[in-house]
Amino acid sequence: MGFDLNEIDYVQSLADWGVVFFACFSVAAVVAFFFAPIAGGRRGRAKLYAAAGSGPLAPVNYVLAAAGAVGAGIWSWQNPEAVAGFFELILRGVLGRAGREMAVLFVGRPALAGVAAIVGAFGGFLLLPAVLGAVQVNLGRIWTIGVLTWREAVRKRTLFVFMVFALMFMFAGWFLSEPNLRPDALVKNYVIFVLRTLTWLTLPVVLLLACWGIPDDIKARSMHTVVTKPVRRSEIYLGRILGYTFVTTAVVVVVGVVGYLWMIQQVPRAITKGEVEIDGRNVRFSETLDDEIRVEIDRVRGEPDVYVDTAAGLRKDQPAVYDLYQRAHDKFVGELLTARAPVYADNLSFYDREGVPTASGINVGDIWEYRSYVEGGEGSRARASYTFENVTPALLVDTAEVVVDADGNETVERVRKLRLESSFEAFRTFKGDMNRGLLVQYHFVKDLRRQLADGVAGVAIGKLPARDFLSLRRDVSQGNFAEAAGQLARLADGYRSRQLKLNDEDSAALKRGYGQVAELFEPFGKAWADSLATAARSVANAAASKDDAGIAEALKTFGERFQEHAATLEEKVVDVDVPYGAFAIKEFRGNIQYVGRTLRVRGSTETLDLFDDLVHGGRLKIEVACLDRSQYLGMARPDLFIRTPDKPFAVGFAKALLGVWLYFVLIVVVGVTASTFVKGPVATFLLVFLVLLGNFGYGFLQEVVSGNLKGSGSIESAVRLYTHRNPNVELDQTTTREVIAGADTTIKGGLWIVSKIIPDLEVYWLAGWVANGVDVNWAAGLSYCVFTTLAYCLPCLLVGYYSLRFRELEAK
Amino acid sequence: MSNQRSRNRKLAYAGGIAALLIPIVVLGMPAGNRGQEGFSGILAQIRADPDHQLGETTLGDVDPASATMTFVLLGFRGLAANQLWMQADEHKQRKQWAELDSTVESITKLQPHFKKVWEFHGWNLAWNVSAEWDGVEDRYFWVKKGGKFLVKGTRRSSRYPELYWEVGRVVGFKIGRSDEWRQFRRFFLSDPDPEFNGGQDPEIAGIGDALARDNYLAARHWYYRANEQDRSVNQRMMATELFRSYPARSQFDYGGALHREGKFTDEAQQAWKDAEFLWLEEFGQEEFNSLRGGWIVINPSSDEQLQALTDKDDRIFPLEAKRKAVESKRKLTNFDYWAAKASSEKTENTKLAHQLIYAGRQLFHAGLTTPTTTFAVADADVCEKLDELEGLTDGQRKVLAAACEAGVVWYTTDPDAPELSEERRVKLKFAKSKLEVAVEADGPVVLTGDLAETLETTPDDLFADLLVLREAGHLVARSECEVVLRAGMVRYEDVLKSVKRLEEDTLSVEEGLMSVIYLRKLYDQDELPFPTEYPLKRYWDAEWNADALHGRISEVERMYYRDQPTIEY
Repeated sequence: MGFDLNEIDYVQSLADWGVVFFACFSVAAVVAFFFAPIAGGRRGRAKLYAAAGSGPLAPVNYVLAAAGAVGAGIWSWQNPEAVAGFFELILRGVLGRAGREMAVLFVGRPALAGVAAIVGAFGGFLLLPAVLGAVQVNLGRIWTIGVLTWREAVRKRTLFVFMVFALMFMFAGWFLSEPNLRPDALVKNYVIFVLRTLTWLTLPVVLLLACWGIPDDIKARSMHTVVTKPVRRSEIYLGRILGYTFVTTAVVVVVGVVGYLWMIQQVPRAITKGEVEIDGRNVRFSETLDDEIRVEIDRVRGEPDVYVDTAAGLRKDQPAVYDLYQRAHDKFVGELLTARAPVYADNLSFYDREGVPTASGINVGDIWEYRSYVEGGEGSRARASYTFENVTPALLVDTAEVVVDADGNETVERVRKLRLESSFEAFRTFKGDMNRGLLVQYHFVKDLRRQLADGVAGVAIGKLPARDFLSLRRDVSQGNFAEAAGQLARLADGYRSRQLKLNDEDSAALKRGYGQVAELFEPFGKAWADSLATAARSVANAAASKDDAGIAEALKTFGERFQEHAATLEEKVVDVDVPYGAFAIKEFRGNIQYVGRTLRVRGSTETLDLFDDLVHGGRLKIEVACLDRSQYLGMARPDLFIRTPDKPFAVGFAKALLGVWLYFVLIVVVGVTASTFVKGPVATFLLVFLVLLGNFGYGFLQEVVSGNLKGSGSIESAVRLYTHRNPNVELDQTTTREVIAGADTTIKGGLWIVSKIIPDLEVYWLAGWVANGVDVNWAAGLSYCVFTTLAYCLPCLLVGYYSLRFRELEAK
Repeated sequence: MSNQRSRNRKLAYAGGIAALLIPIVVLGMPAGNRGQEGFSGILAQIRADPDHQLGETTLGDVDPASATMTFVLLGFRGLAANQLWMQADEHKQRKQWAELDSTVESITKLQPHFKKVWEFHGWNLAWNVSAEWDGVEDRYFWVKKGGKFLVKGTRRSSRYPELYWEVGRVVGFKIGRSDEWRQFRRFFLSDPDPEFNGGQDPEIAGIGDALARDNYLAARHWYYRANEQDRSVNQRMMATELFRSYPARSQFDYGGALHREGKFTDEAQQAWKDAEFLWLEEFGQEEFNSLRGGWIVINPSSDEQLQALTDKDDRIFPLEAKRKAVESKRKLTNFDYWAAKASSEKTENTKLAHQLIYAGRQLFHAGLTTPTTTFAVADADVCEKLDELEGLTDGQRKVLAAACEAGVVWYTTDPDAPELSEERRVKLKFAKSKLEVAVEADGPVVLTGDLAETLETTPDDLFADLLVLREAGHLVARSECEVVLRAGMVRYEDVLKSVKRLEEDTLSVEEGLMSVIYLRKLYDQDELPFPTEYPLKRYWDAEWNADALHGRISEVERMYYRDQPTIEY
């Protein structure tokens, strides 16, 4: 699948945005306080401060001002780079080399934090009145203005955009049903076409409407009439937004529904070949070049049955096969136009060829570092380990299985199985057997003993284990629990007699490790396990507080419990590794394996139950190995998932439409807001810039700001270009260079602010999920859209409200 | 006053606009219907001019979608194309093949007459994208995709000979010379896509209305089309003579591929005969305009023919200049080598040499590598001192001499021969199925029966003689593999010796070196010392002593490992 599930730190970026917003608000508050009388906007602004300083809420405002001051001070102390460069630049520019020293002296962190605190105080003081002022609105009046806006938009022939869509849908089928495409690619094209045309054709309409509404009103003086009515300016503003949202909703819903109907009507016709499982048998069908139908039905043994005939001929001579063909076609189309509901692994880790746990596999030199690779073959113990949480029998799906009895009769049985779908990638170091894909094997693993051994010594990938505990680990991993109890007693003695002392690493390792041990025992739900869990928990707590005496006591208790339950531990805490089948991978498509509840242990008649014996505390571990010697298998976390019963395609598609709608809402809100303080053309220009940057330049902007991009600031780059020096040549350490560096820091600081203001509009593009036949995930998909829109709505509402409120309508 | 000034200014602007419109109309007015040329603009006239051929229709098929897109984008076609190129690269890196495919499709819609788009993406799909896939069928799908993309290119931009040539390269070289050439060539005849119902994909195998029975023949067709186009619009990728030689070269590849696959049939021999004809008579007789010799043919039948051509270039170039030009072009195209190769390959003897070496390799793969009493060869030392040997009857001496000459005397491929063990019989049956073409088409290599006929004796007497010779150690027991391999090597050495040009050819010598490597591996398996004398030794020694890295031997050794079958039977 082409989308990345690696989540960004969303809360953090929201917080960044909040900081930027508060900073802007505070600066505006300062400007209002000092410059409003000069600029002529006296009354409203002065009143605002007067209102904030008196009345019942005044004490709260003073508290908020103090909070704003402290918050801004601390923040600028922690993030001086964004603003400091500016001050440095001025001083250096004026005073030259001496300016640098002065800059260090005067524009250090304290000075900066001081200025920020003052500005923050203004912002905090005004925040509450501003918010309260904005929320004092009448919903009825907003609704009325919204309806009027909708009528106006209809009068403006906005809905003519539907004609364009009608034309597109009428003829698009000609260009999309490319016969040489694979069926899944074909469906992808259809879905992406519908969502892309909807987005890009509606966008200009929405953008122009939003940006020109209020300026037009002001220009035509209709606004003058409206403001004399008993209606607040904020209500006009909100009404506008509501009205344009109506238009957007109408377009998205109508085009979405028509597009959906169009797709489910077009796609089945365009699909002419496929492979699908019907009643436990693989059925391959294809229309041939001679307009015949070829149907291949796999048998349990022997060659598949092949039928080739025209549709009419097949229907007449082989009605059963024709019926099967139709079922196969329908099912295949259904599998493409679906919303798979995957349960992804919560964690993916690796073991290297020696079997040592690592955070990632081998890099085989792909430019796209999405997948990590494991080496195959008997000599290699490399595996990828997927850990699924909350695995219950509810995840099983109904399947059909062909059973052959002693007389050779085939019957179809319904069985509930775990459906695992994978899309690994092969990397061959040599040609090998080219007639089949690389062989993959799943291992269902319950490694309680390994986890316990790692836990008691605090072993974790990339972390230091606790000193002195490694022999304990060996004993546990070998199952010598009685000896391990002795080791624990000795360790307890060591800590008591002060021969051993906890250092920082030990304490962190033990806290982590014994926390895991406690979690390991809890799911057993038995008295012995509970007592061990409690004892482990107290070791973890003692380690956290770095209390040598405490840990001695806790270890002693834990050792005693260990001794007491040694036999039970030996029986219950075991490592189980059940290899399951082997299959040749087919790249870049879903490889589905159905795993029954009952698994046979290799080399014995013993069977294990998947849920009772292999799932521990809702956690299922599946390790993936490659069986071909010296060949590599590439895996990423979304590459293996448990596929629960699919959801209807309409559900996924509706979510993608919701994403598009939220995108338009954002455009409407930002557009209307912009139009409250600038004129139509400027607002349009602003929005176009925002859309372009947010859609195509966001990643690049983030890269520039993060400083990971090779090369320096823009001024230095210009100098290097002019002087013909590449980035690897150091520039001379001169004052000029320092000035340039300072200027670049300032620019970068400004860019940092811009990067926080520009929304990441790519998050709204949910078509990738739907096109790949996957239901849109809330956490990794839809939530980004909802929160981004919300995050922009709130500050925009404030800005829009105040801009319109204080706008001089005559100043066109 | 100010009103009047403003009006005047506006009038001046309008006048300026009108003045500028006139040249635009004159230059850019689109062409009217036929017979109304007077109404079309200058640019339209230039486009329609047969010397310039710039009109959409003269450049190739007009695609309405493409024309619409270009129109809708106004002047931003370049920007959009640029963005799409970047997107295509991004899709490739992220392995989003469906997206890559549709993006590339969009690029061609925007720039249908930009040769590089077709060349680059055709190559990208056939070579790079196909290599990303693990399944051979998938790889073939993408190779075809690249080929089809280029075919489409030849339709949209029909004037570029390079595009036809590129199709030939994908259909011929990519399908016939990849690591997966065995599977690809099979797929060419029987496509794995069920859509073709076990038949050929007409978009790739189609030559006109018919289907090519071999990928190299399809490639030859495309090279012919490239040449045809090259006669009106010169290609700029290589020397004209080299470019024009490709149909014949593809025919060489066709013959070679049949031999590589062990198809030593009449068809293969005919392929080589055709190749010789195409090279000497068709390509060799094509007229080229050379820089220093004017019009020439590469393979002139006589000076008179060259002399006759002087008329064509107004007798500027004397006959001597023409002769020199011919010589230089012969070197450029390696004309004499290919001529020699074709004339050698078409003979029965060369075929037999290839066939035996091929059969030997197959026997090696089948594991028939341990010495057996059924097969025997003459000892090299014995052959050298044939006259000095004592205690032999004349009959036995004759048999031995014949053995020395043939390299092998006793060979059966009869799996039911009574002296065979059960295990060998199974293996031999397997090997025989692989050797079907080699053995059944021409019979066993040197049967005792044949020898009896040659030596004018009876099979029984001959058998008795052979037993005596073997008892005396003059004939040494060998494995089937070695016997056949050696027989092939002896003949192959004769071929190389008789056609000097082949000795200079890398591929020809490599085939010999490969057979020596197989022979060496045979001895290595049994941990026997490799004999000091063996066929093709001089070529091995020459490479071994060529430089510190032993010339091409290590490369051929790598080829040996690649030649090993991966499926054990």
